[in-house]
Order: sequence, then structure tokens, then C-alpha cells
Amino acid sequence: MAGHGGGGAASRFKTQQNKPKNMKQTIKRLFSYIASAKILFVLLIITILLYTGATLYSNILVKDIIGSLGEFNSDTLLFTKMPDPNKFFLYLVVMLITIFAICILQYLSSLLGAYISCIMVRKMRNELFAKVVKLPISYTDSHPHGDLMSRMTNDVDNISQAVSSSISSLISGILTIMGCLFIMVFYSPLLTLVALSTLVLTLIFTAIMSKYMRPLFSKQQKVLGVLNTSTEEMVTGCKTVIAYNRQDHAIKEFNESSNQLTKIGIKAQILSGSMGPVMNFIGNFGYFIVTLCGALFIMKGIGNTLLNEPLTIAIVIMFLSTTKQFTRPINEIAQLYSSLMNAFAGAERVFAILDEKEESFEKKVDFDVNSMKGTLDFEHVNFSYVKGKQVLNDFNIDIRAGHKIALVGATGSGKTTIVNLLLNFYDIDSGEIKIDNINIKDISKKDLRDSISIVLQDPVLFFDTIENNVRYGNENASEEEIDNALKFANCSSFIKQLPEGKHTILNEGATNISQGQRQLLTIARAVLANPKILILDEATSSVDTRTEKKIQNAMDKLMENRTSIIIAHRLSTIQDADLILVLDQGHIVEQGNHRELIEKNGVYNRLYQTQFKGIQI
Amino acid sequence: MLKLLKYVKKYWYFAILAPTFMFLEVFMDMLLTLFMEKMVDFGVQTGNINNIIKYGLLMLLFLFIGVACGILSGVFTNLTSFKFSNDLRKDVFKKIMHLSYNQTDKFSTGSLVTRVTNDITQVQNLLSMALRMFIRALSFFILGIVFTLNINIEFGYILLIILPIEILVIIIFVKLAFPIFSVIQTKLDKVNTIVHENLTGARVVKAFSKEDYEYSRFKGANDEYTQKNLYVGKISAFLMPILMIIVYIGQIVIYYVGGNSILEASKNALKINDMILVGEISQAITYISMICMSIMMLGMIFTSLARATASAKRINEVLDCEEEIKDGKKDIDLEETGTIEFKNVSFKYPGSSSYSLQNISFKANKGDVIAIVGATGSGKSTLVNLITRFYDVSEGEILVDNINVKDYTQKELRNKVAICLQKAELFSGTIKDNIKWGKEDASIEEVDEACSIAQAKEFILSKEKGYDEYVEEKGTSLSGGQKQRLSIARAIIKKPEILIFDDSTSALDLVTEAKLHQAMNEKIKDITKIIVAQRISTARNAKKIIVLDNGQIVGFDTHDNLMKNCEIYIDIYNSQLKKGGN
Repeated sequence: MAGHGGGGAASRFKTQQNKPKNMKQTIKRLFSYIASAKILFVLLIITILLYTGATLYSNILVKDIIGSLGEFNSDTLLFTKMPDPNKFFLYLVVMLITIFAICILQYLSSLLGAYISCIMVRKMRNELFAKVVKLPISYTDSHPHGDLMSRMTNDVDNISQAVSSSISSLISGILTIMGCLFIMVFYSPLLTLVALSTLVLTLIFTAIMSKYMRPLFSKQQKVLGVLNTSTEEMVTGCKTVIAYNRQDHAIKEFNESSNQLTKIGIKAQILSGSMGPVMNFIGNFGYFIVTLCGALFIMKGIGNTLLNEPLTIAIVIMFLSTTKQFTRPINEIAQLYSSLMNAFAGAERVFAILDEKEESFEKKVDFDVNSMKGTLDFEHVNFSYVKGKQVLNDFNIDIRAGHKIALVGATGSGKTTIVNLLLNFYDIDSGEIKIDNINIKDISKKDLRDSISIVLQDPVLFFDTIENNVRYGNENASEEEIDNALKFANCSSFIKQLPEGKHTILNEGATNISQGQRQLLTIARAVLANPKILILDEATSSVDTRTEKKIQNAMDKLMENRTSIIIAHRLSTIQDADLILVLDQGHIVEQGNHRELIEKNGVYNRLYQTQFKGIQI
Repeated sequence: MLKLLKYVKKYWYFAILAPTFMFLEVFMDMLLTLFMEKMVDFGVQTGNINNIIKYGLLMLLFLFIGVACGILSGVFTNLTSFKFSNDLRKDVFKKIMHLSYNQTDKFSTGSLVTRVTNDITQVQNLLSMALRMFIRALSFFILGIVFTLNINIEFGYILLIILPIEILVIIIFVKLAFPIFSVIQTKLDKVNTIVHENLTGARVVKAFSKEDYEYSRFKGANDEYTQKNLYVGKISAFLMPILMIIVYIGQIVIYYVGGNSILEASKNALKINDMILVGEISQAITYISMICMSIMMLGMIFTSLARATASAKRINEVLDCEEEIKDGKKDIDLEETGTIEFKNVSFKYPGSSSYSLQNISFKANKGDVIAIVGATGSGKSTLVNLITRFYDVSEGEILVDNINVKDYTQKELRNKVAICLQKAELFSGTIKDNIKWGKEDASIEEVDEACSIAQAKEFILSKEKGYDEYVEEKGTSLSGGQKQRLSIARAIIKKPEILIFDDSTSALDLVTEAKLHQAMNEKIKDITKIIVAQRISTARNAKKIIVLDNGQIVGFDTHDNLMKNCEIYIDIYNSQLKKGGN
């Protein structure tokens, strides 16, 4: 049931570390989740207690039913003890009632388990998601998404599994063992000792086997990981493989790891497959020993019950079925142990996210988005993503309201960083960024971000209709406003060709429209948001130049009376900017308008010349 | 599924031995129960130690044989299923490596990966389950009935009533729960999609202050998912108790029938021969539990069968793909090298009704630089993909070195023509390993030379380990521009006759791109180059420029001439220049 949805390829192959570090703390916290279904949980425990009790009682009933049938010597064909019909029918009726009770209790406990786990897991997932959307960008940037996804799905599913079934199995298992032991000891302490001897054998055997198996399995996991990773790589990159005639090479490598996996897999599986039969052997051997000793004890008249009554045949028979009941939960608990450890380790990973610091939306100053002017200042800003690797160094800009600013520079020169800082995705190390002369640290992040709209190079669209995607910019927009925004961004023509127009649902990654069209939609979204400050980060890089030109006028209109920051490769789009900043490694190396910069005959001019004149090829 | 059985054929002896031993194991298990009860009836009940030891030793003997059979059956099952899946996996992978671009596009690479990994595991599990669990369940079922009837024919009537009910309950459950499972999967996918979107699109969510909106969107999806899960939980909670109560009632009836016969015998000594012994009663109860367990097991096996059948179908889809691009057979020795000629080439993608390229004709000679410009979707990439036979032309012909590309072996053709794809794909390994993809036996000097032409040398040497720097899976440790330059170096080191750039410098800044072209002109002048370009600045100095519009050539000339007479070219030029120009 646990699927891998969009978990990304890498997460599928990850072998997670499954040893919880701080069990006590984790269990305590898990219980705080269970507390949200407190009454149900108490009911569950009661049901399990009753269920286990009823199951144990049914064992005693078996003894009584058989006992009431008397004792018959098949050698002499004579009854040594006459059966008692009244008792027999009475016990049969009691048995019938007991099994109904058992089944009803079993139903109730599964039902309660399902409810509790659903309630708990829903709560946990919701909290996790609420956390994820509130985590700062620095967190999502620096943590693999596949890992976060797997915490949300696999780990939470493991926890749910543990709560809904493992806990009840564990409780009833322990109770059964205790109950069986009690019954056994009560009826014959001596025979109990005999029965337990096989248990020791089981434990020793398991310990020896797991010593051999563990390294084999971890090796198998590793080889599988290697195979899967290389498959993933070669298959997704198969166009390149073909273009470079590397098929034979790839096939050879694949075959080698596939063979290796097969070899180790066979070994590991055969070894673990023998566990079952051997355990079966030990169990049945125990059965034989108990029978043998039971008969001997009866004859020798030893092994009396705690009440010092002599051992009877019926007791020995009951003992046999109890021994069986007794070994089952022991095997089960061994399995439960690993699934519980899995769940605890998962819970720890989930809690680790829940403990991350959220972005703070506090404000020190009231900020009215509607009446703002839109000036922007960077004053002596220093910033680094990683300590010691300075990205911005004493950075200063002064942008007047309504101006159009362009940022130019090679990849890695710090253009996108400026966007990150302006929206306060990252905190600066020192200096100040001001909007309308107010330090952005003092404004609530919500107000800050409401006043700025961004259009990014990699268009982000959601699995929803086109209309809803555009509405993202302004929830309260009317149908007409949306249509206008779409028209404005030149989207109308391609939307018309879609089967359901603007009600077409974009699939994940919006692969049903082209990259250029995606960019146009994000522009429409920004238009609808109608912000005072607009940031365009390579917003039209995938739109071909002729279409770009078409929307250019609209863009110009959009930028009128707004402070706008444009990041672009194509210099054609920024020539009329009020101020062009040429960045290099976090410094402004040149600034001015287009004409001034051309006259300066520096970096900008060189860039411009290469773009429009072209260097000989 | 049946189709895949031919992969088992090679291991037929294992495939027969595995179920045989499994059957024997179950048979021993049954005998075991039989002697266990004999031990009780003739040993414990009568206090006959000799009988206990006799039956006990027999029991141990059967037990021992049973364990041996169990282990052997495991050995043969694993041998069969692992060897089966190994062969299958290799074949599927080999097939994938020889699929045409068109076929790969149709499947999507992600789905192909799943087919090689998950789907094969599914089928392997099914096979090992069929060889073991299925046979085990079936043996328990059949032998259980036989042994029960052997005790007393009357118990047969009980089975006759219990078994059909038991089977019916399982069928009803499968019918009820099965459709929900797939619904749950889609609900889960939706939950995952929202999480994924919020991780990758976190900037946009935050920039538009949509945290609360996204939370409510997620909560809705999560609620739906939880609800469906709960529904299945509720149905499942019903299943076990109902199955168990049927088994239990059957047991009580057996006690009743058996007990009654004892009671009768105790009153009427004549009936002693018809009497069912106490041991036989517990024996029958054990058998009936075994039979019912086996039915549940069979039910489980059939559910996973449905899943594995879907996997088998997906694997077969790959294996059944016919080779679309067929190798030519000519062994060709050529004098003329480095020419490309398109003769009236038209192309439409399979399944598409309209042409992507129409009537394309042009010729390039050795050492020529031909640029191709045009709007997105005008057919630029398609055109160059035809040269390397990633797709085959629909009409007309393409000649490389005056010979139809279809007459070459694909290997030979792709040795002549190197292409840098739009998406620069790198593989895990060192930088050097990646570049050597182009030429396996390249010396370090050759690698160095190729990298310096591709303008990659500088950034490589700035890495800690230089050429030995490890490239992570899919090159995630490198920037887009760095990846593109490495992929260019990989193509250059091949020293092909023809080099194709399919928009492969888009992430390079202009200065670097210009340097790249300059270096190529100096160092590898003799190579014919086809360059698909977005920017006029990249294209303008080519010997000739092809202007594509809607799949047709609307201009094929030098920059200067095109500026005079090709409207679309002028249009593109102006759009890039805008208000600029001096």
C-alpha cells in the first residue's frame, strides 16, 4: 500500500539507518500522539486483555472437553474412566460462547487499531506538512527532497503499521506467553521446565543464524543499491548511451552486477529460507519430548500440579496445545521487534523535522502593502550561504520607487542571491536591506512577500487547473481579471488550443505544456498579483525571441509605476532599464544605464558586443 | 505471465524439484500429525512407554525428512527464481538499450526504470511464491482433506459445509477491497504530489504567502486518503474474525460428532468399533485448521498474482518491442568524409498526423559550419536527430559521406557523427571517465586537449582532484554550464567527422560561448559542424544558416544575405536586438 509516488528515484534505493537513538524520548512523544485518541486506546488495551484471556480460557476448555470424554484404553478396548455426557455438552456450549467472544473481541481490536492509527497518522502527516511549508527556504534548499518525502510517506506508514497492528500483537503476545506460562506452571512445574528447554534451543539457533545472515543481507542490500542506481542512470540517460555507442559497455556492466546480485541473493534467501523448517523441527522435537516426559511422569507419579493433584492425560494433552500456543508469539515477537524498531527510527526522523525551527512571521512594524511606495536599499550587505564562502561583499544598491533595475553577470555572480535576500528567504550576515526605508527584518514576512511578486526561471506550477494556477496570484480575483491576466501574458492563444481551455488540469511538472508556455503562465500569475515590486528572474529565457518580443510591450506596461528587478541573459530585454548593475562574484563591477555603460567600454560593452556582433565562428 | 515462463525453461529441473520437495515436506508434516496423535492415543492414553518411543522415533524420522525436504525446496525455489529473474533482467535491459528514441519516449524513461527494477522483482516474487507457497497451500488443502476423510468419513461432511463458506468470504472480501486499493494508491499519489510540489516550489509558495492555502489543500488530500484507508481497515477487521468463527464452529462440530461417538460407545459396547478416538478428534481439528489456513494462503497468493500479472504485462511490452531502427549491412570504405546531404526529407513523429519537417534539402561539405535557427517547435532538434538515426525519415533520404544513413550500421554511423544533446547527461564516475565515454582509450593528453577546447579545463583544474574529481549521479554536483561543457568535451574527444550541437551551449555565458567557437575553429577546423542555436550571435558567423519555420526551410544562406531577403530571419534578429543597436 505504501507507494513511492513522487518520492524521486534516489529515495527508493536508500537504505535507511534503522536504529533509534533515543528510544525513551521517542516513545514518550509517540504516546502524546496516541493521547489524541485516548479513549479508543484504553478501549483497545481492554479489548486485547479480554481477547487474550478468552483465548487462554479456550485452551483450558479443550482440556475439560477431552477430560469429560473419559479415558479409554485402546489395548484393552475398555474405558478406564467413563465419559460424562452432561459435562461434555456443558463445556461444548461454553466453548461456543467463548469462541464467539474471541471473534468479536478480535474484530473490535482490529477496528480500534485501524481507527487509532488513522487518527494518529492523519494528525502526524498534517503537522509534518504544516511544518514543511513553514520551514525556511534554507532548509529545503539544503536537504534532499527525496528524504523529506520518504519521511512523510514511508516513515509515517511504518508508524501507522506499528500502532494499528504491532502494538496489539505485542501486547497479546506477551500476555499469551505469560498466560501460557502461568497455566503450565500451575498444572505441572516440572513439565514446564521440559517445555522451556526447547525454547532455549530456539533462541540459540536464532542467534547463530542471524550472525551469519546479517552481513549477507546487508551485502545484498548494497549490491541491489548499486544495480538500481546504475540502472536508473543508464536508462534515464539512454539517449546519451545510444549516441555514444555505449550500449554494449552498459549491458556488460549491468550483467555483472545482476549476476553478483543473483549469487548473493540465492545465498541469503536459502539461508533465511531454512530458518522456517529448522524452527519447525525444534518445535516438533519439543512436542515429542513433552509427550514422552508427560507419559513418564504420569507413570512415575511425579510432576504434580501446584495443588499437588496428580498429572492426568488430559493435562498432558492440554500441555501439548499450550506449548504450541506458547512458541507462536515468541517467533512473532522477534519479527515485531524489527518492525517496532523500524517504526521508532521512523518516528525519530519525523520528530527531527517537527523540531526544526520555523520561519518567524513576527513583525515589529506595521506595514501597509497598499500604500507603500516601493523604494529598495541594500546597505553594506554581507552574505554567505556557507560560512567562509562570501557571496555578497559590502553590497550596496539604492533603488528608487518605480524604477527598473537590471542585474547582469555570469552564472554564480550572485544575481539570484539578491532575490533570495530581498524576499528574506535567507538572513543576511550583516548590513541592512530596507523597503520604503524600513528594515525588512522588522516587517512581517507575509507583508514583505505580499508586496513583491516573482517570476522564476524554472516556472513552478501546481497540479491543478490553469485558472487556479493563475489565481494563485490573487485568491479574490474575478473571472474577468484572470482572463485579462492571461491575455496580458499572451497565454490566450495556446490556452484556446487546449481541450478544456483554462480549465485544463496541468499535470505534475506541467508536462502537458511547453517550457515557454509555463513561463508565460507564471507571468500571468504575477500580473494578477499586482504587486508594488516585481522581480523577473530570467522570466522569458525559454520563450523564443519572437514571442518574447510580443509580450515585451505588455511587460513594459506591467512594469510601469512599479519597482522592478530584472535578471536576464539576453541584453535586448533590459536596454531601457533605469539602472543596469553588472555583477561579478558578489561585487558590482559596473553600473549605469545602457548608454553610459556602452560608453564606458568595459565588461558590459564586451558582453553586449559578443551578443549582437558575434565573435567569429 | 505465461509468456515469461520460457525464461524458466532453462531451469526446468529446478522448477520441478522445488514443488516436489515442497509437496514431500507437507506430506511429512501430515504424517507427523498422524503419529503425534497415535503417540497420544496409544502411548499417553494407555501409558505405554514403548509406543510413545516407537511413534516418537517415527515422528522424528518424518520430521527429519520433512526438514530436509523443506530446505531443499527452498534451495531449488531460490535457484529457479533468482536465475529466472537474472536472465529476464538482463534481457530487458539489453532490449531497452536497443530501443529507438521514439520507443523510449513512448515508455518514458522513468517507467522503463520501474520495469527493470520493481516489475521484475514482483514477477520473481510471484514465481518463488508459486513454486513454494502455492504448492504448499495446495498440498495442505488436498492432503488435509485426504487425511481428514481417512480418520472418519463423517468429518468430510463438515468440510463440505465449511470450505465453500470460507472460500466465498474470501472472494467477497477481494471483490470489496480490491477496487479500493487502487483508489488508495491514487489518493496517496495526490498526497505525494502536493508534498513534492511544495518542496520544489517552496520559493513560489512563500513568495505568494500561500502557506495556509497549501496546508488546506494538503489537509483535504490527506483526509481523503485517510478515509479510504480507514474503510479498508474496517473491511479487513471483519475478515479474520469471520474466517476464524467458521473454523471454530467446524471444530466444535467435530468435537460434537467425535464426542457423541464416544458417548454412544460408553453406553453401548457394540459401538466401540465405530468410536472415534480422542487423539483422532484433535488430529481432525489440526487438519481442518490446516485446510482453512491453506485457503487463506491461496487467497493471498491470488491477490499478489493480480499485481504480478500487471508487472509481467509491463515487462512483456518492453520485450515485445520490435527493433525500429534496423542496421544497414554495408561494410563501407570511403574516400569522401564529412559531408551531409538532405534530399527532400520529410518527417512526422509516429502517431502524429502532421509533418514536423517537410521537404528539407541542403548539403554541407567537409569542414563547413552550418547553423540552424528558428522558433521553438520549428523542428531544429528533430532535424539533427535524423542525422544520427535517432529517428528514421518518413520520406526522402539523408546521406552522410554520400551514403544513405540507413545503409550504415548504427555503430559506424554514430562513430562518424557525434552529437551533444540538448540535455547534458553525465554519469557517476570521475570527470575523466565521463569524457572518455567519447573515446575509451584516450590518453590524458587527449582528455586535456578536448577539455581545453570545450572551455572546461579551467573549472576542472579548480576542482580539488582535477580530472579525477568524482561526478555524482546525474552530475548533480556540477552547474548546468559545467555539465554542458563536459558533454561538449566528451563529443570532441571522439574526433568525429561531423559534430552536432543541439542547442548545447544554452547555459554558457556569451563570452565563454564565443571562446568555445573560437577554439573549435582553430583546433578542429576539419570537422563538419551543425549548430542548432537560439541566439543569432551564435549563428551569424556560420558558413551558412538554415532558417526553419514550421518544419520548412525558409532560408539557407549567409547571415548577410539572409538579412537582405529572409523576413523571418530579420524578424528573429530584430527581436533579439530590440531597441538596441548602435
